[in-house]
Amino acid sequence: MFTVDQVCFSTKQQVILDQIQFSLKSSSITALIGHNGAGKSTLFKAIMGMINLETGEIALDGITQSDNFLAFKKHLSYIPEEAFLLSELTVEQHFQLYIESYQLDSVKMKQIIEQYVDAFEIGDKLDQYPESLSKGMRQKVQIICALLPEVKLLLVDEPFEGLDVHATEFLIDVLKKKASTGTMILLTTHQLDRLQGLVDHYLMLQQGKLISSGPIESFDQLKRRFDQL
Amino acid sequence: MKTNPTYTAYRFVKKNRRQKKQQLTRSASRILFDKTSLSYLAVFGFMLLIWYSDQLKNYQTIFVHIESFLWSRYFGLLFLGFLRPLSLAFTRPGVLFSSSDLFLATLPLDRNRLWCYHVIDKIKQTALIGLVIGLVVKSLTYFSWQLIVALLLGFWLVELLMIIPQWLLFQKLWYIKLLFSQGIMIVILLANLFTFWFDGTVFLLVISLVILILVNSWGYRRLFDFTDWSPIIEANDRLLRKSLLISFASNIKIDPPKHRGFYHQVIRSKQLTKPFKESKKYQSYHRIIFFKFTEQKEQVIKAVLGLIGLIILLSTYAEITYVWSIIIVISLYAQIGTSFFPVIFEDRLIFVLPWNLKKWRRAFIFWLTIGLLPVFAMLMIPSLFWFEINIVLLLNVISYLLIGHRLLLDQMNVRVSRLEGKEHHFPHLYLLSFFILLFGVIYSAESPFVSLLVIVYTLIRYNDQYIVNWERTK
Repeated sequence: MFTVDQVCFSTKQQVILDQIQFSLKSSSITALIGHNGAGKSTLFKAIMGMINLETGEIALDGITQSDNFLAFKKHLSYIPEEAFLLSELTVEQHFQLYIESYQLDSVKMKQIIEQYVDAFEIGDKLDQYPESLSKGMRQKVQIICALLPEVKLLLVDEPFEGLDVHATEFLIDVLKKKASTGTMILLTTHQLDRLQGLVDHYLMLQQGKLISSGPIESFDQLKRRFDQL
Repeated sequence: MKTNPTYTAYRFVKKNRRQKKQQLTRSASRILFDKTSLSYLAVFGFMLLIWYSDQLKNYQTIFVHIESFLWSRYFGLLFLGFLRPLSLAFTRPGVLFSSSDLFLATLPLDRNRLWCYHVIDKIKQTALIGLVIGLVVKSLTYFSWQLIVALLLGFWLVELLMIIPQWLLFQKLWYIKLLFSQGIMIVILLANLFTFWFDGTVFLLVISLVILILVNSWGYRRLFDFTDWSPIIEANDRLLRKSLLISFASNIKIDPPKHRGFYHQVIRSKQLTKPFKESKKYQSYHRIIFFKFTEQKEQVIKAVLGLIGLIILLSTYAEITYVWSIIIVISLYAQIGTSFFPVIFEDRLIFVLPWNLKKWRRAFIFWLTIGLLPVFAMLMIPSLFWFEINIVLLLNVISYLLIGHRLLLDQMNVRVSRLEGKEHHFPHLYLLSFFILLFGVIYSAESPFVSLLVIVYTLIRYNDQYIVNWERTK
């Protein structure tokens, strides 16, 4: 179980996250929705430990982020909105870095990487550096990297941004498969239509506050609520 | 009269950029200074100036000598003005054509005109800086106005004539830049050297200026031929964002533009694009550490030069200061070297990954140990002059090296503990190692047994966790 408990974060001028509290269950796919500036990406950064929380606690299967950050990180993987790849490593070396960092079985991974590389059509880019790739290609590399480890929580920030239709459909399939094996998935997107049939829960943020959450019973109702924000 | 729309747009962007920067600078100033301390500082500065002008009177004759020397080498000195734009061409295009201008160029505005406006601004700015430098030099020294004006005008002219060559050179491959800059530097040095035998510098300078004028007229027509905008924009955007005051106040560092040519051509060889070998478990760690060091090369060079300076300063003075230099340099090396370790994890990608700190630590110690050897070799050179070369010296050297390595390991443990978010419980051991280093080095010259004890201490403290296993680390 993943829990976010009374998380607060603010700058001098404004409150970005205001007492955010929620929990995720295994095998769930939860959409974090809200307009621009609602605090979605900041919440992801908070979960990833990229910003220091003022108050609150984040825990994954009993391991709290503040107490044991390294152990906490081992159980989660992150796809950022903007791919941040190392300019010093080629595409293939990025996969190897993830295998090494998550202590994955390289033989088993070889097969999985081949499968992802084929599906995302980046087979001819393996020995290239990130700056020679287009934005969409870089995003695909980052997605493959994050999909390699079998983690308890997968954070996906705007997953469909910059992806072509084929890659988007493949990613949706993979996310569903991951969820069926127990992974909790928390994702944000502006493209609400993409969420239909994918997510089972939602969290709605507005100006740093969690204003609504729960299972998605009616997608149209959710869309209406989103439009009213 | 209707103003040119390109000029209006250029002025508009420039005005807004200036206002934004002023706003940020004002905020930074408010954070850094308060009126009371500034007024004290002003009084202190005024007193300092009075004291300085009193002191300066004693050196009036020296200024007269320097001035006559500068006049005699005037034309040779002007050659030095070529060096600055040539060396800057590695990292800066020289004309601040930024992403905003590239954006403006996508609108129905004239790109060439935009470029020219930047050049005119640069000419004005260089003149203004020259004027300020001239005023400062005049008020702080006894040089004549004639000399100051002649030098500033000369350098200003050279700087103007180098605008187009610097712009074109920036876009060339690294080895062309290197060949040009080194070649011209050699010519300048030779020209200055020849002035001791015959004065042909005026002739050489006139030829150089004529060549430069020809290069300018040729280059002006080719300003945008084969232009790769991305390095130009990247370098200029960084320069525009850069402000020492704001960086200092906000604690956000804006890195200087990278030496792209060197970085891309030399460090990024085809060999490095190959996948990591599975048999080499530490290859990815070493690769990232290597690149982090190259990214931090300015800091690394500063640290190394600082240590070398310290060695020279302390070891040439007296035997006792040399002994102190051993202690200071070894402990500083451990402190500075390990301070680069957390920098690796500041990278966003590395940050989000789960870190295998045991492996990171081991790989990093490998690099620091390799680095320790040349530093230590340099540190030991003066011992050949201060001490007798015998078995005792060898014993001392081994003990210093071991204790240096010990300090490195202890410091690394502190850094690793901090990254793990644990309370680091090593300082007492680190302090113990430091005191053993302190007294060990001081007394080792008198008694070799101290060195023996240091060796025994360090060997006892080595255990499997600490030992760098060279086979596995490679």
